[in-house]
Amino acid sequence: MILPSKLYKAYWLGRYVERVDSVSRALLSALYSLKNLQSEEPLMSLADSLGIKFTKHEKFLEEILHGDIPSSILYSVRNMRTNAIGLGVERIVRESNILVIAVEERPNLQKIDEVIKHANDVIAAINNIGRVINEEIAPPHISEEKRQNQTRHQQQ
Amino acid sequence: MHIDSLPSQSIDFSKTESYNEAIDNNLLIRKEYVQFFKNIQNPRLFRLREKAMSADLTAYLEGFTYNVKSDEYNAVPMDFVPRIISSDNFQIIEDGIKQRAKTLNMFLKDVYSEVKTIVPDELVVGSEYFNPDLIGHLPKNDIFIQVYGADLLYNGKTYYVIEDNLRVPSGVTYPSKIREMSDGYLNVLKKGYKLQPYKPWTFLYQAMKDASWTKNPFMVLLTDGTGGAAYFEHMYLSKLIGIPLVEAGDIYVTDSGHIVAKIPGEGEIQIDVIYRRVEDLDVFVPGLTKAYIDGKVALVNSPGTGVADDKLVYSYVPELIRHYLSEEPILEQPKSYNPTIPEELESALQNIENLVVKERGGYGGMGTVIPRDHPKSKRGPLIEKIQQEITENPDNYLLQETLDFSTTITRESFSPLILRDSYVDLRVFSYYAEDGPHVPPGGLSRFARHGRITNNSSGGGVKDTWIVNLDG
Repeated sequence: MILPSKLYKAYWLGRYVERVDSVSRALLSALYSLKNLQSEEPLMSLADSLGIKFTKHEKFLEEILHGDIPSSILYSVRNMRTNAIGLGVERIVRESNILVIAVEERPNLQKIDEVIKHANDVIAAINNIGRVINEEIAPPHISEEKRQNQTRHQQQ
Repeated sequence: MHIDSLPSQSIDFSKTESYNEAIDNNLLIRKEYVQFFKNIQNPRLFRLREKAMSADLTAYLEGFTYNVKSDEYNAVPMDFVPRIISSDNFQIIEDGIKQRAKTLNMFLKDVYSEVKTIVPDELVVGSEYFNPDLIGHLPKNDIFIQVYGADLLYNGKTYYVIEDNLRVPSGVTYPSKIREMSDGYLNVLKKGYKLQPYKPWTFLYQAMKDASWTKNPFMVLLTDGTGGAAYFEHMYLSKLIGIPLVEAGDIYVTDSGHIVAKIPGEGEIQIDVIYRRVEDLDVFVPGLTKAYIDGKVALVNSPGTGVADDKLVYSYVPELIRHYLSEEPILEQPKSYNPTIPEELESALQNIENLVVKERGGYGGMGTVIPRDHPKSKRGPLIEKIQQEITENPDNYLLQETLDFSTTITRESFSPLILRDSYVDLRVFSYYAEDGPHVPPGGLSRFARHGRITNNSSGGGVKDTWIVNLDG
């Protein structure tokens, strides 16, 4: 029995996980560019796409990681957790809290290696929650034969 | 056992004027705590800190939190040092709470049957929680308050009830979660104690079932959602009882007046009992009160119960006990001043510095001011403001004497292990079923980190409450 409120929470949980995942991966990629190519351009481009004004990269990193703005990763993971708690599936609540703890860590923003490690930790936690969501609330696997039978039945 | 026999510098006392439940004035450990102190010195109990921290982390990860903002949750601070109460003392509490539960329920029955009570009519009708639409519509078995939470203080001799919570009392699951964590990580601390199991949800389940007008009821818990301060409790409790947790948007009233939940892909299911953890029923589910009045659904607790936990009605509870049960009150309550009575208003105004000022409709510490706890420099203007407010709106307030209540020991640090005395209160719950009220052995003990205020938001935390039989 799945209540409408739970479906709603599951939908928004998924959307926030997607958002954290995409922003974190884009950030990681831009951080590697900064480290290996000494180029701030990918970070500036990311800031532009998220509507964050870019002045110094340390300031941008603070905003995107922990800023009190809807574009920040912390904002998204906290909303993700609210929806996970609302959904009430124990393993998902647990993983969402682990992800929040991972994001809340404060790396030294002057040290790019530390920020890269931080982003990697966040992505690892996102991978975990993705796997758990898949295990806990993904629809059951339907065999090809059963699917074809259902399709035939619907056509009749 | 003297505290000198413990590792040095391990106990820090500052509140020597108050009764300490663990250690007496001669620094001897009280009998309830002797075995506990032996247990924490047990060489098998190494890595106490890691175990306590693991319990904290597990509870946090499982969502044992309270809301700070709509999307921010803080861990509920747990102390591994339990509050230990002898079963003899708890028997007094249990008897006293049952006595109050019966009395308050009988009072509500009279109020909603239009029977004159000993409480002045203007206080009953003037209560913001009195609902005239409910007159003549009594719940099954005339039970209004299936769940009742009473806040108690102890002074070493007597337990005082400082507040009755009859609307949507919270904190039911906190002691269960703490017990679950201590069973999992710190069971060695219980060695030598025979603790009575604490499973309040079994009583709640029965009380809900007995509230139903149908035989095999479909029951749900109605929550105000993830933005509410007690969402964890709603989630955890619905799992313990084994009933669905629904939000307002999940249920509605049908044309026939029944309450149904809509299940996508499955249709509708009729709901017979709602354990409602929301105050404004019709704001959340329009038509819910009417469905209750028409007998289409049972609500736990019934609407309109707030009239009996009104602060001014509270001052009449001892008299109500004598009136309805022909018994003397088992539990004390602090001397109260009803400002609507001119003589009481006058003596309260003169002595306001030593009183607790409570707003009539407030609960759980909201709307409560303790002038004595404010710095002396700010006390004068505060008292003047309160005096003026009470004089202008006497029926909005209740004043009580300030009690000097007990402390117990709380962990201050782990390395080295330092215990500190801290003020502690107790919320005990009663569950009213067909065969009368039941009081499970335990409750929510909250300690203050600073001063006397035990709320989470003021830095307070919670403890496991052990009811122990010292004779057996």
